Amino acid sequence: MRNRREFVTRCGTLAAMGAGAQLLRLGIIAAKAQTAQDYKALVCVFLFGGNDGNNTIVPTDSRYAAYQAMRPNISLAQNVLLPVGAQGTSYGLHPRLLNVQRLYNAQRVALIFNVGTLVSPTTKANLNSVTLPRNLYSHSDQTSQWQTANPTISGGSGWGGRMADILATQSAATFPIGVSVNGGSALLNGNTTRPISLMPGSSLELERFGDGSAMNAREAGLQQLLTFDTGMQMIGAASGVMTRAVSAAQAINAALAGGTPLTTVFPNTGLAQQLRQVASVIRVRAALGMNRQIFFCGMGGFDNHSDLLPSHDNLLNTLDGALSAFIAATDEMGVSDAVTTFTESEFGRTGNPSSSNGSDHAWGSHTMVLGGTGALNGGQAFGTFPRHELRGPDDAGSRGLWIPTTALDQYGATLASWFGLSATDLNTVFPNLRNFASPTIGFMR
Amino acid sequence: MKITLKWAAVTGATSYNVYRGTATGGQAATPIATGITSLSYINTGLTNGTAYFFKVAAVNSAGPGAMSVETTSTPVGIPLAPANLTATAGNQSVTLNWQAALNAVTYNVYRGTSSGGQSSTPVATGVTSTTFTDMGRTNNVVYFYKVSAVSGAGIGPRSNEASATPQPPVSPPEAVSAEDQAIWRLLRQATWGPTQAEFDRVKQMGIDAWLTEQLNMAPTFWPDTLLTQSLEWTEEYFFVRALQGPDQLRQRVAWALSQIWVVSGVEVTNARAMLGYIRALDIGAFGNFQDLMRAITLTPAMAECLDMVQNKKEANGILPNENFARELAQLFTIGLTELNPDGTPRTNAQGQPIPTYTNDDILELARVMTGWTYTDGIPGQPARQNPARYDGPMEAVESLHDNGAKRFLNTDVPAGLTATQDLDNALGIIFRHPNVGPFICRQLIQRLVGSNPSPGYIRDVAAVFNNNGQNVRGDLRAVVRAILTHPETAQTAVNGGKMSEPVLYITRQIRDIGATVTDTPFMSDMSADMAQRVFHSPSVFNYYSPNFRVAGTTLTAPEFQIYTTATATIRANFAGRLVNGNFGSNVSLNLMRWTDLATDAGLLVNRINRVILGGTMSAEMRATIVDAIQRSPNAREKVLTALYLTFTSSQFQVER
Repeated sequence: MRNRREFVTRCGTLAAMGAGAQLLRLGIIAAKAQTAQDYKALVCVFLFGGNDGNNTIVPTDSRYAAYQAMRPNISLAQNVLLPVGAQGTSYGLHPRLLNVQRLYNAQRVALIFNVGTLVSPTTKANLNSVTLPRNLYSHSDQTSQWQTANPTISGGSGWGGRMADILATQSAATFPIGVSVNGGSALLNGNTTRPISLMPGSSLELERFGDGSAMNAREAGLQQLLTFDTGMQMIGAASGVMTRAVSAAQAINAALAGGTPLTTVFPNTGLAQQLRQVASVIRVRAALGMNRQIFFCGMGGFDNHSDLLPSHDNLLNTLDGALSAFIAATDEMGVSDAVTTFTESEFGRTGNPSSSNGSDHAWGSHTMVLGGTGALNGGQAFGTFPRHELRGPDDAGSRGLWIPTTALDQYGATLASWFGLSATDLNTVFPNLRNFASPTIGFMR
Repeated sequence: MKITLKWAAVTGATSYNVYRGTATGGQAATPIATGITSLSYINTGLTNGTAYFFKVAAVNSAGPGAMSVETTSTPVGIPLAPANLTATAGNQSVTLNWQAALNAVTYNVYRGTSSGGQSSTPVATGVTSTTFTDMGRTNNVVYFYKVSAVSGAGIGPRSNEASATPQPPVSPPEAVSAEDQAIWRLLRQATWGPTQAEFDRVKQMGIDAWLTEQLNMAPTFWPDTLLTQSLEWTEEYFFVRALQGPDQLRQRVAWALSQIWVVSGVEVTNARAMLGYIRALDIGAFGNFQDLMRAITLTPAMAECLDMVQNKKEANGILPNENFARELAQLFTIGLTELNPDGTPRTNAQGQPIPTYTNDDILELARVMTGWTYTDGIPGQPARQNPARYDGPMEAVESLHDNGAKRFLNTDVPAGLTATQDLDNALGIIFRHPNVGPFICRQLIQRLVGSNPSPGYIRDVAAVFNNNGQNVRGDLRAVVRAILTHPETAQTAVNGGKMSEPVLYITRQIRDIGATVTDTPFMSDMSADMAQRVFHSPSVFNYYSPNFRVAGTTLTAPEFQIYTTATATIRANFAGRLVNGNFGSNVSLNLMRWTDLATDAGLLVNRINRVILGGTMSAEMRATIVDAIQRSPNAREKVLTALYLTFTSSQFQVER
């Protein structure tokens, strides 16, 4: 079956290529040559489904017993955890995070404890009096809020997009600042700017077929049809997407065709291939005229209501391999200090296990930031680790729903500040940031 | 440079003298020529542009006689090339226009059938105006023209080249009547793509009878051979059914429901398990919603996907799994916030939406969903959890069910209920929640008709959900009929219509062209490339959210969540590959049924407007496509151009 499917798919492709695939010369973008001296990129790796932070970073000091008691059937044995030191004590990374451990010890990874969506500082004491993010524990809402940093409304622009709105006014580049390699992304939608979406293994090239002069007529006709305003919003929106594709196609395709391809080998996983595509776009940053870029990648499968241990094992193995290859690629390109990668996930999972050896939806969780030693205060942990006690001081309910001690806004603002945004801009991008005493939390230099 | 004089003979003359001046009456007494015995004289060596005045005298032995009357002329040079030659195609003709050339007296026209290939012999001479229509041409042949000016001094250089392709007359637009538009629209909303044949049936039967027929049609079978094959074959067979099955509306509704009650092949890889779920959707599509809730809940596929299978009551601090309980409420039935009957959110005194349930409700509902395992195929309840088996609904293991008292959605559930009683009771409580009608009906409208149903549309359909007229709640057959017969199916508001989801984008094209699918069409990978692999939603949250908004707008447009620059390009390339025949013999295009009209771009576009766009093609879209057709060299290319531009257009991609 697989062979037949691949055969059919490839036939579809080859026939079109045989007809003469060419760049569609529409909407020409002048690639502005620009020095890459002031280049910075942020790369978001979204772990869809709600990563179980409790099993990603485990305290291995005296608190290990409470961890194990909290989740007897889904706890990781102490002796398989990968030791890392932080905050004067010991933690263990999930055993599949071998490369993350190596990079942490090389000061190229920072751990951020118990980050989550918040409107204002929230504790067990004020839990019932403060405004809480809308629809906690809901995948869709929390996935959106991690990307919009706007937890009291539904939808809206993304915090990466709002950064791009500001940065776009300071840049002559015409190529979008936001690039998603994981489909549509709320993170990168600005109020005035839109990201571009690239798909690993596929280009933005419109294939030619049939007679050459007829194809010229088709290309011209396609472009002309995009300009018609029917008065129907849906049609206008559709034409907008295709127009952006056509506009960006030539710039990105021409840029990618130049220079020396990367030699770093990426694993054959979805996330690694996305990060490979990110690296390939970073490689041609000068040809595209970019000095700031924000990328969005992601992998799914983290909603481990059952069989957490084997599932999480596979997931973190994939994550570890992909991140390791990407860091190697930034090293190869000489941009280690210019590219900072960070994880997001819509929520953590209950400390308490559920039937079927899994864990359910919760709230605060741990994240990772990866980068170069010149940019990142790596080899350290930031924030406050939650107390593993059901119904305890950090539990918003009865099953270990950790109340975040670091707001997503502070996490994002720390990255945005490194990216060059002013204090004023930070408050624009993160509308609730002013509710928190420290707008940034120090993991970036 | 020269002037030719001619005169009539004079009786008795032996020769003639010619006198010349440069002003009237200013001839010198001395002739410029004498002894001319013919009746004409060519005076050469003159200055171009200077007017000369001539007289002639007859001469005999007595000498010259009186001078003739005066004649004047101004010599001209070889003319310049005519400028700005244009060629305009007509029916079997080409009309040329050019700017008058200096010194031109007449013009010659040269023609060829390749650029620069004009014959040395003009096809017309002595043309006195600056326009010429070349009649008797063959349509669809490209002709290349040049023009030269002619004067007494000779033939000037040739003009620029202009070309044109004579075309048959372009038939005018043909309006599609409102009645016919309504039928085409119904077929877009109720089938996997309108066909001329289905249109003809509806036209004959009437919409109401056609809907009745569809609503009573049994589901097309899924072959049992699929049960033991890889799930990929089920994905492929989805397209076989969609493209060919008679139960079009049932399939559309089942597919719509599959995007609400989502089971994903990412989680469930067994074809037998998936087909159990799919068949339950097929049946449930035209049944009662409460029955559908129960049937899907107990399918092993849903149970595996959301961890209800093997879920058990609390033991040793391990709590019942919340997964199914949460998504049952959030996604499958009532949603997150309380709704008015028209689907608008209810708000509290502070203007904030009111949550439908609390996290504690979910913990309680999770306790209901305990004690279920795979069937063992043996009559009677199993005593313990069974290993995975997919040929029947789940069965209860009472000892693992939490039969304690529960409270959720402000309703108390007494202790002591069996797993089955508890489940049925809970599903009944949820089913009767007032949110279900507007919550489910809005999404069904979104899947069938448009992304932005008005509150009135939702209210009208939800009212039918709440009561089908015979005091039955949840009658999906009545709901579907209400959706498809509502005046708002016309989708005339500025936010009307919906972006074609990838599956429909594919099936509409294949069905609209009238292609014959002889075997597995292998469209699953195509759809997957467009971010919609059938039965493989990335998560229980479907391929897109019913509330997704186009960035920077207030326009709700779920399918735009997967309509990105990347997938937009992939979709356009799919259209190109399809019309170009790249999918081989399994999708036989039968382009003949389009090429018969290719001799008249107007007729071709009229048929596209009717069958593919249901009469919604704008005038400027028509003009663009007609122009591109005329610039395509032969019947096949003309049809490819017309179909490609239609299928890639936003006016096609957005269904309305």
